[in-house]
This record gives sequence, structure tokens and C-alpha cells, in this order.
Amino acid sequence: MATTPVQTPLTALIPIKAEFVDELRDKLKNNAIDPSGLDAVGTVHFASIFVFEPNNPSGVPSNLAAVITVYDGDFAAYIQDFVNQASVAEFFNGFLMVVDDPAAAGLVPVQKNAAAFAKLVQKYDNTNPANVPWGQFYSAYPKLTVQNILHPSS
Amino acid sequence: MPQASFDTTPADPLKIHPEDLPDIQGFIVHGYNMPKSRHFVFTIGQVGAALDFLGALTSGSGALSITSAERWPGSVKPEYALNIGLTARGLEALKLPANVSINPGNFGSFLGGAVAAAKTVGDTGPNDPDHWVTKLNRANADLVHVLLSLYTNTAEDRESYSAQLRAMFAPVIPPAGAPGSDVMEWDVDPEIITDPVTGEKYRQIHFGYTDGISNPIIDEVGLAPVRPNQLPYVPAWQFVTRYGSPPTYVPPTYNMPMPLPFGQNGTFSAFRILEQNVPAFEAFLSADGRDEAAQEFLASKLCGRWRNANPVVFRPLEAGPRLPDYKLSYFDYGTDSVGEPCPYSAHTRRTNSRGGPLVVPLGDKVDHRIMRRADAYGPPYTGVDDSQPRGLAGHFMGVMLADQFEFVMSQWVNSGTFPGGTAEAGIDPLLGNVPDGSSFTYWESGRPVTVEGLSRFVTTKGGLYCFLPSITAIKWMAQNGGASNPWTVPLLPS
Repeated sequence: MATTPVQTPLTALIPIKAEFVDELRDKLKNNAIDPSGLDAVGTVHFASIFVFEPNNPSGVPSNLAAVITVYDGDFAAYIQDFVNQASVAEFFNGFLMVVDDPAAAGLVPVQKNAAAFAKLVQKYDNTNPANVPWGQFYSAYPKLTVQNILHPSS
Repeated sequence: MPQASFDTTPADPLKIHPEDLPDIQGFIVHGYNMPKSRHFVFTIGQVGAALDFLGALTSGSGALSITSAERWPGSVKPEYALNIGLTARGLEALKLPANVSINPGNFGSFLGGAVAAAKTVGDTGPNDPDHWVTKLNRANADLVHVLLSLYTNTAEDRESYSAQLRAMFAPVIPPAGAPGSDVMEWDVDPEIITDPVTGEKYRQIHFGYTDGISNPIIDEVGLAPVRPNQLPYVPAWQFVTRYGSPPTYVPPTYNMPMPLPFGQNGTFSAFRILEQNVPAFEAFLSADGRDEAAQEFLASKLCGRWRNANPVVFRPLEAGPRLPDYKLSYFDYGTDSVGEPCPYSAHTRRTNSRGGPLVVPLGDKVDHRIMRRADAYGPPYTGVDDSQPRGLAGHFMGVMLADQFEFVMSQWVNSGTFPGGTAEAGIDPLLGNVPDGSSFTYWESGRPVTVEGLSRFVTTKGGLYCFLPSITAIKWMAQNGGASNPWTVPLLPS
């Protein structure tokens, strides 16, 4: 029987206000988040963040920002550590101002509202088993956390 | 009747100042080291009487008053110290004005209560709130309103001050026979040991380890500079509610409970009753024919300290003479990424990674800290299984329960995937919710050594989450409670 992976996927597709979509799309093409902030948290395996292109071949609406990540541990528990990184907070404070959700702007500054920010992201997560059963997640190394990989025992 | 003015100025979010000390409940900032304590938990049945009680505790008119953090003249301990906590249901019972706001995003754990948080912190199975002491269990959770923590120096003083305190709160509780009329009283009697060589006094828990080491130090005006290898002082806002400074008001990383007289200079606490199974612990140590030296070696790996408190990081092979107090806390795990000499699952490493290779190298040294004011209860263990309940009870404090107490319990103590090479590190053997058939692994000479037969040593017997208000807040509540359109515990988003 396969081992339940220690990693968890997150695939959040978040609506962006029409007047800000193009600006955000361009911003995300230029490494908007300093990777050292993600290094510091130490639980994120991979992360992609982009806004869908207009007329993309998949027909996905182009006002959607995608946050696609694989991480260790409990998303909500680590969110405070995540937004405590200055560069991460700076990015998401700007991001929240352009999200097309009535709750978003009120979460700025995100450092003070980390738990509510996590809930907002998880609301738009299409691969959160707490929402609905969604499909299959495969891991080639189900027992290895980021820290296990970066600091092997041997 | 003239109302007192509560013209409250926002205090420094980063440091405690001398003028703050009279407003903060004493045990948040300083441990009292008073050996005979008793915790009372009761229900508010009469709002008017409850408000009078709060007033009496802070006006000097009552037999006992709440102890602040003001330093004792000549460092002479008073005959008693008294502190108070209120649960969310307790605040609701006071009928505070509707302008009270406690942000559910930041303080949802407190608002939901300890029973609702049981799964998060590992209070499942034998730890489940259904099995807790009656006053605190799942069925009675909504009736848990007020926690009084009384500290004294002698058993006689504990009795005489308890009698006076009971008389003070007698009008507050529901009448006999009504729901919540019972009062829980829990005695805590740490064993105070005097080191025969140094004469230093220290407290021991029932597993034989020295307790009370390495609490966080809240940053305060006038503290000496941090020594090498000492963990940084913790910014005040993590242990005392502070508003934040303009222009961004960040930190703190929470929205201050409001209004300011109510919200400032308080903190939150997880009060816990943890029953310790000493016979099982001793049986684990002495299994497999281990001699005394081998038992002490294994005990040091379970904890990360020898029983005399020496960290295994300084003394990997044997305890040696007890190091001076200041050295006991001045260490980290360096570049160790295997768990040698201190296993990742050792209790002290599980509860504080000291900036190790996981999570926010700087922040981890400062964040997720817990102020512990807990001590041994029950008779000392004499080597005979007497079936007497014994364990550890007291407060685990920090403003952000979710990011401090609950984070440590859920992400580190009870999480078997804490990093440490490719071997599963295992949960904290001295505190975690250890399932039957577990084992404990430590590393020696670069190889793992697994000891089978690890069983549960600790069972949760009670818990509550409370707000420890400032002296100003207690006066404010006394004056403003009993409102006709009162604050109620908000429904938390699921």
C-alpha cells in the first residue's frame, strides 16, 4: 500500500479585479516574491504563481491568478511564519488589494491577519481535500520533507 | 457614582517599561517560585457579584488583590500572589459592552476554547476532553469561566488565603445544585531540591528532571545585552498585548483586543493538567537489563537534558556536575542535522528548535515561544507504583495561542515528521500523544539506535484557554460589565 505523502498540494485559482489583471500578470513575470523568503520558511517544495494569459489554449478565464505549490506541514499553522517574511508580506499586501473578493482588502496588513489570509487562499484551492474530493496526488518521495531533502542524514 | 477614567496610552510594542509593570499580571513577566499553589476554576452565576469581585480584587478593598509585575521591595516574597484568567465564556458571562472586539482570525483558539482545540493539540484518544476532570470536560466546557491561581510559600498560608478567597467569590458562583455550582481546586506542590554542592534551589518534576529552565525572557528596558548563544529576548508584544507603533502598526502580528483599556497589557494562556505515568517511564528506562548509567543515558536522550538539567549538547556522554544556571540555556544545536547528540524528538528540542534547520532561522528563535508557569502536582514518586495521580499543571502563556502553544503542540511535539534525516523522528516522548507500540530513536556515532516499547507517559486530564487581563482591564470590566446589549462570543468560521 502506498504511503500517504507528507507533502500537500495547493492549487488556488484566485479571481483578480479586471482593472488590475494585466498589471499583475506582468509583475508576476518578473520574480515578484524574493525566494529567500520561501527559503526561510523551509516548508515549501515548489511554488508557481502566474496569471492566465488571455486566449490561453485551455480556455481558462484570464482574470485568474494561479498559486500552485507543494508544501509540508499544516498550511494554516505555518502561514504566520510565511507572512512574517518581509518580502512575502509586501507582495501579498499588494496582491490582496487586487483580489476580486470582498474579504481580501480587509486582510491588509497580511501580517496581522495571517489566519484569515490562509482561509481565503484555501477557499480557492481546487486540490484541498477539505473542500471536495478532487483527484490524485502522487509523490516520488512521500516521506521526505524539504528539511529532510536539504539536510540528509547520511 | 463617578466613573473612573480609562484614558489609556498605547504602550511600547517591543519592550516592557518600568511604568508598565504595575498594570501587567505578575506571573506573565516573572515566575514567583512560590512552592504551594492552588488553582480554582468556577462558573459565574451572578453577574453583579462577579463585577463586584473583580472590583474588590483591584481596589484593595478585598481580602486578596491581584498581584502585578511590580517588583517586590527588597525582593522579599509576599505571603501570597494571586492572578486571574477568564475564558471566552467567562467574558461573555460578564456581559461586557458590545464595543469589545476580539479578532476571531487572531484569537479564534481562545474564542473557541480548549475543548474545541483538542484535536489540534493532540488531545485525542486517552487525552480526549471526555476523559478530563469533570469541571473542565467536554460536557461542562461552557461553564468554565474563571481561573484563579493562588501562590503561597507554605501549606498553612495556602489554606488560610484559600479560605479568604473562597469567601470573596462565594456570591459569584451559582447556588448549590444549579449547573456550574461546583468549584475545581487543584493543588500544585513542586518538589524543591537544593543542590548539595552549589546550594542552588531548583524544582523537580515527577520524571526526575529539573524543571523551570529556559523560559523566554521578555524584552524589557534595562536588561543586560544578550550573551553569546543565549536566545534573543522576545519582543514584548508576543507575551503582552500591545497595539503596535505607527505608521504601519506591524508588528504585532495581531489586531489588538479592544477597547484599549480592556485589551492592552494582557495575554492568553493555555492552562493544562497533565498526568504523568512515572511507573511506565521508569519501566521503559530499566527495560532490557539497562544498568543505572544506561538508564540515565536514555533519560537524557528522551529529554535533551540530563536529570540535573545539563544539556546533552554540552555533556553528550554523561551528566557531570550541574552547570551554572546561566549556561543551562545558552546553547543551540549548531549545524547538527542528524539529531546527535540531541535527538530531534527529545522533549527540549521538540518544544524549541533553537533556530535549527527548520522554519525561519531567525524567527524560529524568537517565534513560537511559550512562557511556562507549571509545576508538579501529586505526591513525590518513591519508586513504588502507588496509583496516586501525579503530574504537571499550570499555565502555558503567549498572546497568540495558535502561533505559540498550539503551533508547538501540533507542528512539533505531536508531529512525527519533524526533520532529522530520513528516519522518522518520532513525537515528543515526554509530552506527546504517544500511541501504543511506539519506539524511540536516538543517534550514536552516526547510526540510529531504536528503543522499542515506548508507551504513553503523559495523559491530558484538563485544559482551558483564558485571557489574563491587565489590572486596568479588570477595573474596566468591573465598571463596564452588566451591559444590556453585551458582547457575545462570535461564531467562528468553520
